[in-house]
Amino acid sequence: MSSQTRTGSGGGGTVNKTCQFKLVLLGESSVGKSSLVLRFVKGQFHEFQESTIGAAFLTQTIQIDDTTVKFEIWDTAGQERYHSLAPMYYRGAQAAIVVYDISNKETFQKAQTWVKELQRQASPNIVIALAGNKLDLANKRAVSYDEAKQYADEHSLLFMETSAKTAANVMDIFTSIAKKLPKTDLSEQMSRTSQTRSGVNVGSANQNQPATSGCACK
Amino acid sequence: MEVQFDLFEHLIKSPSKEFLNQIIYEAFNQSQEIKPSANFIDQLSQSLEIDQATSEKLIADLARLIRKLIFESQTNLQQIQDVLALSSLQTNLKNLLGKLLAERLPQFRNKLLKEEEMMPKLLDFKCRVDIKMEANITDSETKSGQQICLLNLKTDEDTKERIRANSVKQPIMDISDIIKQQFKKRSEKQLGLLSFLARLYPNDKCGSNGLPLTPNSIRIYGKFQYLKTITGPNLCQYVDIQRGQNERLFVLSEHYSLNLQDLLSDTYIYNLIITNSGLLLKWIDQILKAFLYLSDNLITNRLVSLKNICISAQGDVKLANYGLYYMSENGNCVDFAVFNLETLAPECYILDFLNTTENSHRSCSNSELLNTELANPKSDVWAIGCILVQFFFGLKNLSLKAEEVIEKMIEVNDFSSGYDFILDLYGIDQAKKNLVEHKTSSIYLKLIKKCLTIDSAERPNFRELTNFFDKCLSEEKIGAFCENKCAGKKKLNLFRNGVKFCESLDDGEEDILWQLGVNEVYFLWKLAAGDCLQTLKTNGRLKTTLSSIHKFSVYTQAENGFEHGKLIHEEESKFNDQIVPVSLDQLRKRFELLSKKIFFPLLEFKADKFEVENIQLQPVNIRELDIDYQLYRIVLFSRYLGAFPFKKEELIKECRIDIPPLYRNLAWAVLLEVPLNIEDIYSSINKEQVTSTDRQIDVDIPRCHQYDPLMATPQSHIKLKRVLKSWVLSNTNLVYWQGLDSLCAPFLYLNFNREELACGCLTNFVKKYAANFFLKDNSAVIHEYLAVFSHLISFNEPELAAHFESIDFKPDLYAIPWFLTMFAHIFPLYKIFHLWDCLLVGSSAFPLCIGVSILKQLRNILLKSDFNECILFFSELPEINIEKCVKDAVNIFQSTPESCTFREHSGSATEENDPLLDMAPISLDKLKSEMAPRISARDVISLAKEKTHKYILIDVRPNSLFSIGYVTESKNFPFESINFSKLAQALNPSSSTSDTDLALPFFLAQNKNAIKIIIASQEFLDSAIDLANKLVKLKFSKICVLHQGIESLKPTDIYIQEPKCCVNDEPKIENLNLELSKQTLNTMISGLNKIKDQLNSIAASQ
Repeated sequence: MSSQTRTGSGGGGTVNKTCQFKLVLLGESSVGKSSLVLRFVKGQFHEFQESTIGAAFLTQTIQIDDTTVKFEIWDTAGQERYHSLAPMYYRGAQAAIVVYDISNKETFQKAQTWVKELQRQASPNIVIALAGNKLDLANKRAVSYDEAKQYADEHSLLFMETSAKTAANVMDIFTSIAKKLPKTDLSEQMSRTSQTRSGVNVGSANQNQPATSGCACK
Repeated sequence: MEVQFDLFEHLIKSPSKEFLNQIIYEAFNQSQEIKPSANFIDQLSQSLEIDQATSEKLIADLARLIRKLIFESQTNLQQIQDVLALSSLQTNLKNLLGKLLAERLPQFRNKLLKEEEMMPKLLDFKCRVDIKMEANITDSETKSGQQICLLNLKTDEDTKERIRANSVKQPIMDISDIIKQQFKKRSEKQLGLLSFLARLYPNDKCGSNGLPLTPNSIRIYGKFQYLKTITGPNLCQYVDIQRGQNERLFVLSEHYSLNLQDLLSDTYIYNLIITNSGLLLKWIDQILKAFLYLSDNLITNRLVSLKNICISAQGDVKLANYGLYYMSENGNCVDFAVFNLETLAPECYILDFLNTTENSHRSCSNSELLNTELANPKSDVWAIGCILVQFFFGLKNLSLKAEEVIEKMIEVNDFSSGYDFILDLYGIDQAKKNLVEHKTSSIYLKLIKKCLTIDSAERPNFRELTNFFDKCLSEEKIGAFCENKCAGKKKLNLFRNGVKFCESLDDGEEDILWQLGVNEVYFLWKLAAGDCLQTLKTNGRLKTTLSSIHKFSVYTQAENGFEHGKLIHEEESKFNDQIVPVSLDQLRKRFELLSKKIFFPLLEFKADKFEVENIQLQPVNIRELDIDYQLYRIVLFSRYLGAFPFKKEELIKECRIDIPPLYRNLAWAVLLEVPLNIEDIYSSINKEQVTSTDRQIDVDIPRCHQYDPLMATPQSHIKLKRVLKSWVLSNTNLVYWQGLDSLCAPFLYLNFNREELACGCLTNFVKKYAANFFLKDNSAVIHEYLAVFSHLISFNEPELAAHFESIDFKPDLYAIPWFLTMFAHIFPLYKIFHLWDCLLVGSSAFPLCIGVSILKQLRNILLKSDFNECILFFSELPEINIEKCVKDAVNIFQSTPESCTFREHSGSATEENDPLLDMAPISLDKLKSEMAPRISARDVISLAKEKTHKYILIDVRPNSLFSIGYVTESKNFPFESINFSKLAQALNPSSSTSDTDLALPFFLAQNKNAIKIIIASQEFLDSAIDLANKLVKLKFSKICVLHQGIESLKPTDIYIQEPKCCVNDEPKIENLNLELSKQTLNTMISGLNKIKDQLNSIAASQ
């Protein structure tokens, strides 16, 4: 799976850096958030993927040029009721994927609310990607590509239509995010991270510091 | 019965012997309440020269004598004379009367035997005392019941038969005896197995929602479940369905090997039956009853044949194999025709042939239209007509070819009646027709003709047919007979139909095995390694090996992208309508070895209990596989459940030991105190009402425990939705949160055909264990729960707590799905059952202990893991040993004082809390900032009094306060004097320590396993909490803080007030330090070294 993106690492004497990013998935329930992550992390697809309660955590490392990018992925519960938990997951995140189901118009509207909330309340520099999932159900499409693309452009979001089932564009969307994330200015990233995380309920702040300071940007 | 002989004197005047005989005859009639005619009385008075009143009295007295003699069976001359000898009659008259009576009485007696309904002759009787309950459904509080003595009278069964036969004035013949003799083995009650293959879908076909199509075997599996509830009269009860490999299904049901086809094949028996009109009427009546019940329950049989009408040992009809058409969704889920060619109704021919021969090409909408047509139960009415023709015409080996039938079918409208058509189809010529019609009662012919109405619109349905049949009977002056035993015996019990236990010692069942219900027998058969596939193989129904050529072709075809395994099944093995008997011999033998007492436990006497102590030491998994033990549990639980709500306490006590899987649903309902009128409550909820959570429920259900075939069935999805919606609608203060579906699944799984119980269990489960979790805003509740959980980790697993603290790993990150679903989201169903068996007998704090117990099981790995590893670890929980988990959880529960699990939002009604002695809510922030739990004064007192656990009391107040008053057995370590750096260093080998610094760690080390209660006054409470936090970080276990401070203990007798004069004296604690001799110091240092070593080894293992 991840071999496609492992381009030009090592070998040519370039210094290999490691960067760590917190990425959160948001979107209406059963649009395929967990499936996207499962496809990305394990290359698997479960037809009857169980619903996520609270949130799930997974990690995956990919290679972008000479940089090793490690994603810490927070996969959140989709039900509106769990909304109150969401801030504790997206606060401090450097990237977010907002997912909707192309065969369901309402999930696209929900995605737009998420984008609004992220742009208002998450870190100012957060990279947001919009994923129109379930591309395999294109014959039942309810949201046109152009409509979504236009919306994404207006709000400067990365946009792709994906299918966790067929794996279409799954790798690509994560790679695009990785490419767009600021890898050059790691010290600033780290300090910003720790600042924003300090107030967060979820305690990923403390553990991150020793971990990243040890291996970042060698 | 005293007989007056005085009037008999007048008989001496009787003109002749004949006249005397006539008098006797009239007297006999009188004894049967047939009054003699006025003429006869006149004649009698004249002949004997007495008045009419005396004549009547004479006849009455004589009648009484006759009745007495017959009743007492004193019908021979000697006996009669003995009776007459009591009288003072003339000897001549005595002799004559005796002789005449002796001549006539045997005749009279036989006449009575034939005509009268007599008291059945008592052959045997048994008795036992039992508890009968009368639970009043409308009033759950009403608990009226009584201990009653059950008398079981074994009577002469023949009498009943005779009465029936007599009603149509036929010679007496007991067919059930003949059947028993002739078909001894075959008419026994059995378990039957039917096996067939479901239709395979092409490999990667998907439904419109993008999900794979539900396999047909799963669809059938789901559809079958309803058939378990069909327990009508004269039907073989369905027991279970199992899925094998390659879409093979095994259907198990009650079965009898003897059927009408067999009876037809035996000419002797057949002739006996066909001339026994009483029996025929009974059977036809039972067949109609069975079909009426089916059609009332919306089941169309379609597989009507003589072979599927079984006869039980009692000579009753038992309809078999009636559910295949239903469970296969009108034949759509299988590749073979679900009908009997010979009995298929005209309207079905064309439709069914379309259905089966071209099924691959038909369009969906079309097939649905066909289905409603096809499922019309009127086709079964036609079929009954057909089998009656077959039976009365004695058609044994009817084998029709499909093409011939079709050809005939085209001409069906040329026939004047369906009856003629069938006779023609079956090849019956005019001569035979006349012969049979001549000897067959017109009732049957009328019935047959009515059934065989060609036009389905005109053909009666079963209700009409039954009425028609009853009308025919009354026209023929044949009264209604033998009411069915099952009718009207409905138990008004929450557990109606839930358990079958032997109410009578013999229900016509001699077989020890069938003292149990068919479900119970099946359950035990499975435990006794009963295997469906093996049963098929031993009956020669499955080819066990494939030739290598076959294998090769399978292999190569698969390579080419063909369906896998298509060739493995030969066409004929897809379906064979022959039901295979399942061998129960092993089980029966095993039962016979057991004491019969096991079936009739005396619940009041402990001494009578089955020897279970040894087996109850075994793990639950082993106990659940032990046949003898399960039998004992089943009988015991069925008794308790049958007596419910009496014996509830005993039942719960037994549940604490373990719960037999067969009755888990009912046991859980008892433990959760589901109201008795739950059926009414549930049915009053409008489950179709549209709610705002419908969409969420719709998207969650298809992902809920779908690995399980039952949960994956369309029926399960419908039911789960109904139950969840009912919950949402009836708990208006709560809302649906994702996860409630998982929580509901185990209840639905266990109560698949009793949604009301599932809903009742869910409601009460949430109330007790997940109170307020499903509030619209539940964050305060959940966060409090998780904070208390953290405290329990600290209390029981301080190493983990310290580690988690150091990596900032909080329960919020992983434990929300644990507790929100009470572990139903993280474990598969079979594990949840065992976990909840234990959880349900515990308090609402028990789930917290389970959480700690899971962590304990994973401790070694977790201690080595960093934040990311820990959280990844919980995303995919590794295998957890539930048995151990439950055991640990119980230990944790027992070693943790109750107040340590106190929660403000626990939902339990706050009884009168003492503001000092009991817990009171503290703010969430404070709760979170504290690492150790608090303990109530009440718990401290009970520890001090009852000494159930080892404990120490650490008083951190300044000496000055301690010396004024203190708690018994407490030790004073003033907070200021505790050198925390030293406390840590004290555990470090390189540091030098002074004596005073050592006091606390030494004290703690000495009492490693004791509950360590830190005491302060309100003023110094923060110091106590500070110390507790530090001790937890230093990995000391069982740390807790006295909740309301020492003030709460002051009014109690464990608080010791020092006399005022002591104020200026040396504080007690310093005395303690001064008393430290060199010797004690040495022991302290060696003790300390031990701690040091342990800590080193822990550090090394990290």
